[in-house]
Amino acid sequence: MLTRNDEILLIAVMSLRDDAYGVTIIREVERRTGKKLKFGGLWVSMDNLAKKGLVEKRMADPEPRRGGKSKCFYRVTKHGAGALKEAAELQERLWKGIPGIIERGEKA
Amino acid sequence: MNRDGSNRDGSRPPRLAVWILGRFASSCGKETIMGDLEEYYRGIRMEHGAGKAAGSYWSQAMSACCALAAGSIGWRMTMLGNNLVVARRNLKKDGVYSLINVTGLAIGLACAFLIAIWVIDETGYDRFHEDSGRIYRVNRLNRADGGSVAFTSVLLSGALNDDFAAVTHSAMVCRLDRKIAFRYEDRNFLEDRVLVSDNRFFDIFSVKFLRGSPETALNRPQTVVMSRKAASRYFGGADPIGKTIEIVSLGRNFEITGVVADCPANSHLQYDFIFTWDWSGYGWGSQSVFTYVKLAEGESPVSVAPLMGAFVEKNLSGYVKEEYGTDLATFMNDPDLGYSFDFQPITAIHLDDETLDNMPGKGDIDDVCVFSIAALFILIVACVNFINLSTARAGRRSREVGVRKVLGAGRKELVGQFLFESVLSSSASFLLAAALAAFALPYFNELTGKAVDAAVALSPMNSAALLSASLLAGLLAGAYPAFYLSSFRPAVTIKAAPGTGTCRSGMRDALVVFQYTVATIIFLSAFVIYSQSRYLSSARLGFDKELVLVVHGARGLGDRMDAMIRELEAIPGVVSVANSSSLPGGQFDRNGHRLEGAAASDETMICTMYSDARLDRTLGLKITRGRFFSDEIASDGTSAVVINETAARMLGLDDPVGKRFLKEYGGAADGEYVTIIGVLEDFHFHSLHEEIEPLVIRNLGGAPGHYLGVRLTNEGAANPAAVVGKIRETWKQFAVGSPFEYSFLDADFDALYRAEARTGRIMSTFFVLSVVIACLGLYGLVSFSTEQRTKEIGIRKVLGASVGDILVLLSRRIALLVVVANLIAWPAAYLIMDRWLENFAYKTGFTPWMPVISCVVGLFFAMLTVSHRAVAAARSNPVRNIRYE
Repeated sequence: MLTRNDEILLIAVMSLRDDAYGVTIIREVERRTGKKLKFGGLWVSMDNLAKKGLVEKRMADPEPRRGGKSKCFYRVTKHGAGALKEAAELQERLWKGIPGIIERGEKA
Repeated sequence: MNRDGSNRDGSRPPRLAVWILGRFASSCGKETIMGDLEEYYRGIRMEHGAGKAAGSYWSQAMSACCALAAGSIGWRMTMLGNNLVVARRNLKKDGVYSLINVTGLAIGLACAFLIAIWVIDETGYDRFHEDSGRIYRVNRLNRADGGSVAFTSVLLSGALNDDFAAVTHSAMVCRLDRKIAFRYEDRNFLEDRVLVSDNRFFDIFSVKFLRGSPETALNRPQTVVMSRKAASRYFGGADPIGKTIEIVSLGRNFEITGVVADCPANSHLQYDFIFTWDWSGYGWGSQSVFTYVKLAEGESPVSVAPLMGAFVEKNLSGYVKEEYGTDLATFMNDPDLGYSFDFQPITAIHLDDETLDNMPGKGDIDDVCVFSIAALFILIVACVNFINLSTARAGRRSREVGVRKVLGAGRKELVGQFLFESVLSSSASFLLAAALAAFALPYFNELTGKAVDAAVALSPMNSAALLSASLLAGLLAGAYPAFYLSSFRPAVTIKAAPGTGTCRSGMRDALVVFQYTVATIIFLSAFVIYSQSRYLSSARLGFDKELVLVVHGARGLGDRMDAMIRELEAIPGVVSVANSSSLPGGQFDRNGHRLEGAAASDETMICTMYSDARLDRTLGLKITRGRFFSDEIASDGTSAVVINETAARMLGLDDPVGKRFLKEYGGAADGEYVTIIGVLEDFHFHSLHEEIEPLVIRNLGGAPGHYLGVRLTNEGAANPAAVVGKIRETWKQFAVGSPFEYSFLDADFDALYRAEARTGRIMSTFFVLSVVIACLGLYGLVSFSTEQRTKEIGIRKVLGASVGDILVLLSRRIALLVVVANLIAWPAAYLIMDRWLENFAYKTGFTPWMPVISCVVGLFFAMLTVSHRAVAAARSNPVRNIRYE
């Protein structure tokens, strides 16, 4: 099972398609969830995801914008995509009928 | 983009943060990490400006550092685990060698540790007094010989306090150098730790009062303060305050006004009693007390020195004019009589044996130096061993290093691993050293006469120091193999046979030579000390010390002395009994003697003692001219003196009999005279440390002297118990109330050399330790070299070498090293011992046997060590050896 944080990261990477690296992932996560991640935690988490086989790393060419340093792109693997799909289905199953109950609860 | 990588606008993230981050990022992810953050920085900077960008960068960078560190700790731990496994395997594989290594270092550490404790104790005497840095003893510096004397006038302390603003407190202390009898009801003892002083004592010295208070304790005459130990001896648990105790020899009662805690062992003034005395009538001429002062803050002897001249002028001019008839300047410039005052820090007193103060228990600064150096050497030898052995063993692991490098280990990792193993060994050494030190402590205490207990010795601070020393040794030992091995090229090491790594035996040989040199020097020193001790106890002293028994405290007998002596001489086993003020080996005051017709300036200080007419018979002294005192001749009692040959020589008297001295010491020219009636053959009344001095023996003239010398027959001396018993009964009969205390003159005399005996024992211990360490090291090295050469030995045997040939082959080199070590050690030991023997005026010489013996002993131990391995190798099966890989 995916953890919540893993899920958020994978979704961010997925939605960024070919442009997922440190800076962009942080921005995307902030845009989607409002949480401001720290880079330190991000690298450790991404490394763990890579170890689990859910993402793969790709080194790119150096860029002047980064002071001449190269960057590391991430991409969701098939395995990772599968895990996301499972997570979505699980979400749907879990929440089936619950929003209605919440609404009725508020009314009462 | 600019050349340094910054953007056109020259913006870069804060340099410090970049640097810090760089240290945490490991090599592989570094670029990505730095790059990501830099881009992030640029983004913020464009939107929100440089300030906010810098702040955000710092915040991100620091949290990243934390995360990275936490992430990599996992790796570090894993690596540590691997290091531990490898270390344990290696230690197990070379079990014996590891044990030798650890033990050798532990012995050296423990030894150095104990000596450090001793040195710290010896140099820390008297520091427990409050403001000890400002307390000084005032000595007289004599012009005559440049020597200093601690005995000063009773008036000095008061005068110093009055005349110097810098002196806040002063005190005078008189130490009784003979035992005196104290009596309370039926308990009486002879006490020898007795001081005479007054209230001011407590202003200067920190004394803890258990009963009474420092202000009131000694503020009036005939009061006494006792130590807790003394109080329990006389009063048990009762409160002695207000009671009176009698000092028998003074015939007076003293009121007890205080009980103080026992004085600590590291105080130069050791006392059980302090009593007050009426010093009126004592002027500048009688020098019999120690003067102590406490200076104000910020003052030092240097600041006080300029005012000394005026002080001396003011206080001493009158006395000098009256006694010597000259003015002060002439007196002070006189090469024989002149003196000045000198301030000696109280903390320096214990180690100062140059200043004359007749205090027992002095330490010797030479001892402190010698032992510090010896300790340092032993520690170096032990560390050298450790390094030597570690280096030799590390050579076997060159293959391992090669493989590790191929698998990707960097230099840092390899160095780290070797250092880790080395430090692990040395930590084990630390534990063993601490245990050894704790076990050896009782023996150490006995050897040095100190009383250190384990808890104090192994205090947290001391243990931390020991730990750092051992870790340092571990790091140093590990450094050489670590850096050397990690520099190998993998291809070379993996292809080569195991054990080809360090072959540089030159350094190892030098280290072995060094160890054996140190051991040999210590051996020779111990030898010389032993030889000198033998000489001292068997030297001819000019009197028969083996036959004389000494009874103390005879002064209280008064006019019953003659009757008692007659009774004593009637005891079978007793030949004769003499009464005197001092006996050889004791204290001899010096007094000013002036020959008839000599000028006042020709007055000389000569050792003086008083005795009755039986001294020559009792001690076995020989008269060379004239005669000794005789009871028949009445005038002997008041106007006869006997001198020794040295005195006759010094006074330039060819025919001394009949010449006369002024009776009064330093007296006026028109006083009475005493006549020299005889000259004695020189005898050693001081210890053999000193040349025989001139001596004048005056007649007690019926007054009781402090000591009774009892000459026993040969049978009596061999079996003294019965005779002593009878003497005790007689004593009890005549000396009612005084305790009977006796000793044997030869034991008393030998006690003068207690310090040397102790030094000798300590040197012997050092010798044993250094030999053990050196042999341990040698054993390890020899084991390795024989192992290296197993193939060679096998081939030689096949080619026809006998067991003996192999033995010689293996030991030849070691024997050579030992001989070289000896050659170096002989001159060094000679220099050291020559200097030590200068302490003695009468000494044994160096025999040619000494170097021979040291060489033989050295070779013996070396061959013993080598033999175990060598014999095993020589007898091994050559077939197995050649197959050995």
